[in-house]
Amino acid sequence: MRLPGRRAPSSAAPRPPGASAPPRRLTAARDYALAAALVALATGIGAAARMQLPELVMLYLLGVVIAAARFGRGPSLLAATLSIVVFDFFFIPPTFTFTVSEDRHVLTFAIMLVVGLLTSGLTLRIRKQEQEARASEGRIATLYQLSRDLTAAVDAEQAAGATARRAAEICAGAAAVLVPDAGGGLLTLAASGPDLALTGGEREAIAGTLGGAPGPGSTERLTWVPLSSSGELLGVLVLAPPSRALAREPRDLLDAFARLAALALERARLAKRAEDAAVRAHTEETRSSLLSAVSHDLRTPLAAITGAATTLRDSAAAGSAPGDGGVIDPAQRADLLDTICEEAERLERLVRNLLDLTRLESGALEVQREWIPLEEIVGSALMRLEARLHGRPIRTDLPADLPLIPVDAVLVEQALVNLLENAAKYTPAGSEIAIAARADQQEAADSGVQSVVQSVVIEIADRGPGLPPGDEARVFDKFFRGRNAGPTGAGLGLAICRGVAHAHRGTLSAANRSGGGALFRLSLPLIGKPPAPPPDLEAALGASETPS
Amino acid sequence: MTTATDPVVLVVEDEPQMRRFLRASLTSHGFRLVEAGTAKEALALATSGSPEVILLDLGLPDGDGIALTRSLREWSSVPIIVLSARGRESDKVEALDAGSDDYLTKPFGVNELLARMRAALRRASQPSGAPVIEIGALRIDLARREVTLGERELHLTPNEYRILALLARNPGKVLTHRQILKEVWGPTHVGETHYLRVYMAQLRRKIEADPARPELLITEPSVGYRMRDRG
Repeated sequence: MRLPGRRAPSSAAPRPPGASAPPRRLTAARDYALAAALVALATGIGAAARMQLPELVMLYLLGVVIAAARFGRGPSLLAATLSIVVFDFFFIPPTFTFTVSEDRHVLTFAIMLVVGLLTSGLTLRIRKQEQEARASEGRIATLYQLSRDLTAAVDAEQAAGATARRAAEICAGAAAVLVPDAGGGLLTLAASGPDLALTGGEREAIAGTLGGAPGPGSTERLTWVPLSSSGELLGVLVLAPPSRALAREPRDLLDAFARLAALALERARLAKRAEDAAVRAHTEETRSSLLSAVSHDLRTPLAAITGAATTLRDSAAAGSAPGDGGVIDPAQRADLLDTICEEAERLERLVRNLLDLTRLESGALEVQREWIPLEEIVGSALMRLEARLHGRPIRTDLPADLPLIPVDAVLVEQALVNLLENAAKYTPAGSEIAIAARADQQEAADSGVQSVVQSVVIEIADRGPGLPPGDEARVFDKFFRGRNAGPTGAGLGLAICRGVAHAHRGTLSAANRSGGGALFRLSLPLIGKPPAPPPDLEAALGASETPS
Repeated sequence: MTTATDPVVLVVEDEPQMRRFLRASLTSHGFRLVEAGTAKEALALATSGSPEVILLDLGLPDGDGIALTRSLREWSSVPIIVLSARGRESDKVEALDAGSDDYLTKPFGVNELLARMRAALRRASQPSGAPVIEIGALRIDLARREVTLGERELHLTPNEYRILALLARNPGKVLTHRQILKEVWGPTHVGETHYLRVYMAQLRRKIEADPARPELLITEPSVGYRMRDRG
């Protein structure tokens, strides 16, 4: 039932129940005045239309009903009383006196009063029901909005944020969601509205009521509702208006809020736990695969060294007592000594690689950039590999006008060494390995004429079997070993190269060459401003002796 | 078997396994060993033992090897070869700048160690100021400031010549960037490492058959340069 003169607010946006429009007192005065005006209006109409007494009674009753429906109990009672007085004064003969000449008129007054009271009671009840329906509609809409926000929240911070925002709207003040921290204190997870600026004492007061069986609490300034689920305290919703300043309705709503928010917080916590567990499981898996790979790779050379060394020691002991057996001939002896040296070297490489990789991956490594000619790095890498690349044709194609590159010489040298070692390992002895470099130029965005060197690209190409199709990217994974790798190598070398490339904000990619073989492309960006060239670069011998 | 005329080497190293290995290999190659486990012992033995070469481990229990190098250099020019772990380039540079002659990265083979020790001993015994230095096909006449490669005379800029002469006067010795820059450009330019790198690249183009695979001017990454010792 819609009552005249009062439009229900749009149900989509209910007025926050805590925020009533004009002050209550003014409204009441206005309502009484309007009720009186209704009586005056009825009197006016009755006089103008020269109505008979029964019709006038109906007219006054209508006024009382409207006053009841529109303004409530007090104004309707005023309307009923006024109606009787005015009716008596203006219409009951003798008119313009309060004297009643006939007794039946007293009965009419009594009926008018009773009818007025009954109708106003009925109307009031209907009105109240309507108001309640509307309030619960608003409450449901608010709760629905909150639950929608909470569903969208992916973590505790977002859930707390949504709760604080909606709660601040409802109580037209400030709201915050606090969660217990590891140290037994409270941590503000989200806040909305004006800054709550909780004092230490307030924090203590809140924390104090949360122990044991947590319940809501209040101070002069604040209200708080614990957020708990499954008997566990997950947080607390704190509001700036104190409990007594809140109407019953927002208080009820806040309880519903607290339940919803607690569920959302618990959900977020469970999700986080599941995620943590997944991360832990992954880390654990990586670690165990690292451990198994490393322990195998460490044990194999150690076993060979121990075996060879003990054989040599025992044979030396046996040699002192001829005919004992166990004496080995010089060729075998040399073989065993070679084994010890080679396996020790392999062990050294593995340990070095593991350390390098750990430092690169942990981010503990500081890239010490220096502007350096690539040629110098290639030179020292080739020099370190002199023995291992023995007899290999190496073709280098490094343009003389290549710019200096800002890199950590030690790291990039290690990457080149690993790439060259890799090429040597997977290609037939005697096949060529090519090292080429070029400046990767890009036209400057503004001029369009001047080109700017963005990076230097280094390519290491071989004529071996190439990469297994589909595995071009996987070769950089830790512990990935090529099919022809044989027993050596832990699959760390290329992972280190990629780590070095990334540490320089560069890239490393692998591809198969047309015509067979693999090609590794290391691209190192020119970061920062290149240094000025030495001032006396082309001075002839015997010219200025002390350049600045 | 060692004799009284064999060169004395002071080994400053606190790891017993390393000392055992060095003792076995060095005595069998004709060195007499004096061993110190701490910097304090080393300082005492450097005075009393009159070693001809010192092998110095940088990580000592009572203070670092670099400080020891500095105090030794106050009164002694005995060659010092630093033994250090890999990845500590800044330590190596510091040790070289402090006055040590060379460094070896652990682990190393005994051949490499012996070669470095012999080169150090040779440099120490050589009279400095030889007017002509010959390394392979490279011939540097210090008096005339002339450089020839085989039959061909090379035209070098003054700085190229100074770098080359400096390295050639110290064959096999690692000179740090700082040391070369200070010597050639003066103490105000010791930070301009890229000057040196650009000049080294030019020098290599003039001297080396393949500048990317140098035979004479060897790079010690992030540390410095060394002229290959052909002697």
